[in-house]
Amino acid sequence: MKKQFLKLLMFGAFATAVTVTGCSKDSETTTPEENLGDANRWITVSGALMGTTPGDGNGGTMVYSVSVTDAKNPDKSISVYDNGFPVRSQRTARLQSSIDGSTLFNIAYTGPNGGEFSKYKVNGGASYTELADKVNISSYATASPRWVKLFDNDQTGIAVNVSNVKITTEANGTTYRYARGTSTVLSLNLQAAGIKTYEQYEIPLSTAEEAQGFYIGRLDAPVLNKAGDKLIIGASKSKYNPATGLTDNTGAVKIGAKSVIVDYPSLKNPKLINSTVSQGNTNGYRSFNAFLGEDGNIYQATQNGTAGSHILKINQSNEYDNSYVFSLDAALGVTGTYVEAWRYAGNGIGYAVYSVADKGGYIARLDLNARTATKVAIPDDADLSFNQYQGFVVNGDEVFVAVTPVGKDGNIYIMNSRTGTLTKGAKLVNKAGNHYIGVF
Amino acid sequence: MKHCLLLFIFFCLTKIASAQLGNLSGKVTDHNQKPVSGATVELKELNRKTMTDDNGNYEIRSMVYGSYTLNISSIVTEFKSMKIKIAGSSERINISVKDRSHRELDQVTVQGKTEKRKIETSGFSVNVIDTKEASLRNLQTNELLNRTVGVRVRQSGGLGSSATYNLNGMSGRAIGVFIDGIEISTYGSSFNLNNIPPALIERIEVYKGVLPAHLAGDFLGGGINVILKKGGMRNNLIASASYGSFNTQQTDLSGTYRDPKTGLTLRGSGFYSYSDNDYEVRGKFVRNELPNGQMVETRGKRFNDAYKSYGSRFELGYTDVKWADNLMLNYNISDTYDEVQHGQYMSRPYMGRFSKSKAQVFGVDYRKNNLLLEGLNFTFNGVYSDREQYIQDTVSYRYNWNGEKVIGIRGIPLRTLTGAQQGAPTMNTISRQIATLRASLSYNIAANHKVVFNHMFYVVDRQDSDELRTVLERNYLSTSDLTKNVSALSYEMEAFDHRLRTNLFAKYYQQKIDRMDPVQQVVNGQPTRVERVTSDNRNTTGYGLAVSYSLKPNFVLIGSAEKAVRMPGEQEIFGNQSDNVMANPSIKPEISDNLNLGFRAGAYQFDAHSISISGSGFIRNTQDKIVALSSDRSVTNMETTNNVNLSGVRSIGFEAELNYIYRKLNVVLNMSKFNALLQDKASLFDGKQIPNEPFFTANGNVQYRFNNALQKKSVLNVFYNFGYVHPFETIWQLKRDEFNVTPTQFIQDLGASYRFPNQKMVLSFDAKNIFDKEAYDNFAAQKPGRAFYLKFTYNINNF
Repeated sequence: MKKQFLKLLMFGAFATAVTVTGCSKDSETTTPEENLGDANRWITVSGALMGTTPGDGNGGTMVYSVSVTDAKNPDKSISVYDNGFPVRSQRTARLQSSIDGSTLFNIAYTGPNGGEFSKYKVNGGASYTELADKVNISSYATASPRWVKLFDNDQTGIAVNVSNVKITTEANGTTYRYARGTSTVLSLNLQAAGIKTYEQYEIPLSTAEEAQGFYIGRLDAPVLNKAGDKLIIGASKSKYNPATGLTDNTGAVKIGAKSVIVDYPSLKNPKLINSTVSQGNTNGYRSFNAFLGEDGNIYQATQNGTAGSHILKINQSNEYDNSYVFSLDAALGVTGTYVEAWRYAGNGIGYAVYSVADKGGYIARLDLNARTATKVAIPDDADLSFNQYQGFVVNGDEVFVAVTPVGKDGNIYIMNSRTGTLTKGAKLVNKAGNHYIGVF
Repeated sequence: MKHCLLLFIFFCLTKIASAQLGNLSGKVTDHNQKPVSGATVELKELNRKTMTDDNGNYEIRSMVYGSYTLNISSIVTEFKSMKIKIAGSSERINISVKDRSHRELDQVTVQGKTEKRKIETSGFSVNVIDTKEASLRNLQTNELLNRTVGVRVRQSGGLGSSATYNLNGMSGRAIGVFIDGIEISTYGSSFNLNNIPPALIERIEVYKGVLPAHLAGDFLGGGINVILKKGGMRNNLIASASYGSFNTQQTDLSGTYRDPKTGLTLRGSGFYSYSDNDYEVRGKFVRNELPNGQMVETRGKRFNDAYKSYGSRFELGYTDVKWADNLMLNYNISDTYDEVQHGQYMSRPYMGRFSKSKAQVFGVDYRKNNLLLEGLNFTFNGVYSDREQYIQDTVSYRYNWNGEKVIGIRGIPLRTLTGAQQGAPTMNTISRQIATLRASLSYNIAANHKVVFNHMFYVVDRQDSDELRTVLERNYLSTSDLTKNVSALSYEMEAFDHRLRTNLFAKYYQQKIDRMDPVQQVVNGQPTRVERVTSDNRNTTGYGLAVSYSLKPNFVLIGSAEKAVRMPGEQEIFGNQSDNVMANPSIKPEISDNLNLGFRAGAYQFDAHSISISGSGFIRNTQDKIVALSSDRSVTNMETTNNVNLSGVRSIGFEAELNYIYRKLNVVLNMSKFNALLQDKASLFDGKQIPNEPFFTANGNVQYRFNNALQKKSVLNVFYNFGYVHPFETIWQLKRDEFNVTPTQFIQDLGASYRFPNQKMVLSFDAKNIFDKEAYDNFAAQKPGRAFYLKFTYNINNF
């Protein structure tokens, strides 16, 4: 027992050393030279287990970590399903990692420990040490919270949720007025696990939109603005049929894309902003959906719009810039693009994993300044889908992504955001019904 | 179809048999002129049996005049066969039989043994639970079931908490639960196995896999049939009261009166149960929340888990009269109040959530053997029930395991996010009107050949009304009616001198659902609420065979096979808007091939030792299993679920039971182990054990009797019981994470019952979970620790 503790301490010391070297390296390499990032960090690969049908990923999450060198080596094989470590969650875990890859953050999604935030020290291979400081946020953000960390050197996580949606009628009881839920925004101290603060409010849409039956159904993917004084939170719209008070899932009518803006760090004063470019949702799915660029603008992807996905721009006044129109359908020359997840890599370049007309899985390199997109040449496969995809690692110029068709072996791919080159990395060994959902 | 049936029933009820009938009675004694109790007296030609009472008396009623063979058998006497003649309305024949050995009479096991054995060797995989002993002790009906081989009762807490049944790996809607052959749901949640005390139950039959034709219904995994006490021929009155830990109080009263001249019979029974269920919970799932969100393990007493239930049943009618063996009208009324302490997991205790249910049930039972012609037997049950269930959840504060409000990070009490303890605030009333009609006609074509036709008709009409929903929403909620018909035809045969018994059966299932969806349409320029009615009609067939063969008188081989069917339910076909369950009109019935093979051996006698052993193996192959799938990427990003058919599950396993008797010692040991394996080639878990199901369980009971212990003629019984549940995983996982595994459960109980010399009073004491071990049933839901109960029973016979 004592020995184990000693080992743990040593691991801790080693990890700290890695962290320190990693940080110092980062600050050194600001030259326009090729930036290979931190060569000593861990790359954690995660895979989702199927629940009831292949590809649903509802059976929990397995993780395994390798060195950067191994992750880039196509002769290496990684099998999280045979050798990995199970992260505790009834359904897919909501993982985030520290910038240096040394710590995994997880909030369990549903189940007996739903809403529990925990941290794992990455020790290489299947060795993860669960740290003792835990905090449960389910009282504030339900047992199935949606959360991401802010890009503030791993200080803060933001969890959001909409609950208790209720219909209000006129006094006669039969004329629909509006539906509203309670929105919760909560900030979490990632370093010493604990809740920082939280706020709850009703966020009404416009009277006209509410009369049509719309309401804010989900919040997700918050991002901090350049000034550090506002959070921009992605939102999805749901709809009732005002004639009957029943859910309307037809999607026949859509209204403009929206985000919720709140003060930071107080989380007070919620306000809605509205885009005229897209009618989609801006909450993403289980990972980041908006990023702050070096130009001070925020770039946000949309899903479920009327004409495929868009990248929207939110300027430094925290308003949508409706003069910026970047349609992925137009840029890629297809109809029905849907961004499953994306990651900003710096210098106006991002990588998006997407489907077309609810089919397939593709990667596109996005040039946010030129508003162009090019398909990245990963092998086409009918069983490839990035639904539920959660994690990219940006290490210097290089962006790591895990590509596995459901039930088939795949690879880590490394995309160089500066040069645009694509390199095949380590082999990912798969199992029936499963897929890899991220690198961290 | 159903109208013809009703007409036929009416015809039968009004017709009175005209052949001349006589009654036979007498006394069975041994060579010392001592009465032989518990002996079987059988009229071979008519296949009619009865058992002698404590004084050796027997009675067989309503036989057509003629010559018959009378067989007398008993464990303690030699077999005797004799020719008799019935020529008068009341024949009395006393019979003297030879003792088999010099064993004491009082060693003969309980009354009902032959009925038990008859059912258990009928070819079906069935266990019969005798409730006679349990009725005198502090045992719940669910506890009794839980001790039965291959049965697992999964209960989320103490007395009254909701229970589900698992028979060798099949559970939920795949298992049928019946009272006297009528589906228990007819009686409502206020009259169920939680609150029917063993004292009101004659016996419980547990069928695994294959259900006999007379228990018609669409079930895959088998069924539990509770036979309520009919009181026999004698007048009697039984009253009992018990008190124990957690302020648990239970009383019941039952009585029978029969006028021998007219056959007029009156029966009544009633029960009252109450418990605070305020037992302590602890362990890794019981945690309190600090203001900054950190969780600390704690201990706490359950504070919102009280349970109160009362009910009564009255029956009035005629037994053993010329025109009916049994015609009874019955009326049940019951009422239950049940507080809910937590949801699926214990993570968060609830305050103020409760349900109330009440039911009124009217029924008629008619049975006549040898109707119109010899060998034609007819039974009919009709039940109408009016049920109401109310659920209230309006408290919006969060509570911790100390029963106090949770204080949040701002120092003020936290409210729940949904406005109530579990989901949205609700004050919902669900009313159901249910009618169940069941008729059975059997005919002995020739000696040892019998054909049985059974028909079951079931209709339910349901209305929901939530006070907290807007009038608008309530106006547009859909309603539905469900109608089910199940017809079964079976052919029973006995051959090779009763050594071979076979039962071949076929079942026809028909189900119709009418659903009314209100929609808004523009009629004459006005938006108007229009009722749109859709109907779903489907049918399917199943069939099976049950065989038993007696190699030797005390060694019987038993086998059965069935293609069983479970029809998709109303919600599975039509969805449910309020739960975001989408409709799937093309969903197929779930089909299962069930196969059982086993043996019953014994009792073997070695001097004063007696051993009987039974064992069986089984395979259940389920296809088109109905499961709920979540689809969370629909057009408006609303999480929805729909039900689909998936590939199947295969369960393979075995169970065994050993019974050892030595003088006054009685030991029963049983175990069950099975693999319920997913059959899905596309899945990573193909061939793996289904999680969240206990798959290896064992039970043991030891009973020892002291005669004349404290007083002369008194009887003291002491009991020891253990239950073992092997750890099982609670979610699908490739690598075993101990967090998702239930701990090993080994629970031991002790008890004693004392019968006073007057034979009328019994006092019993039970200590349950004596070592105060953590006992879990549903995942992480803790059951009571150490508890003590005292019970007093008073019994008057033949007044």
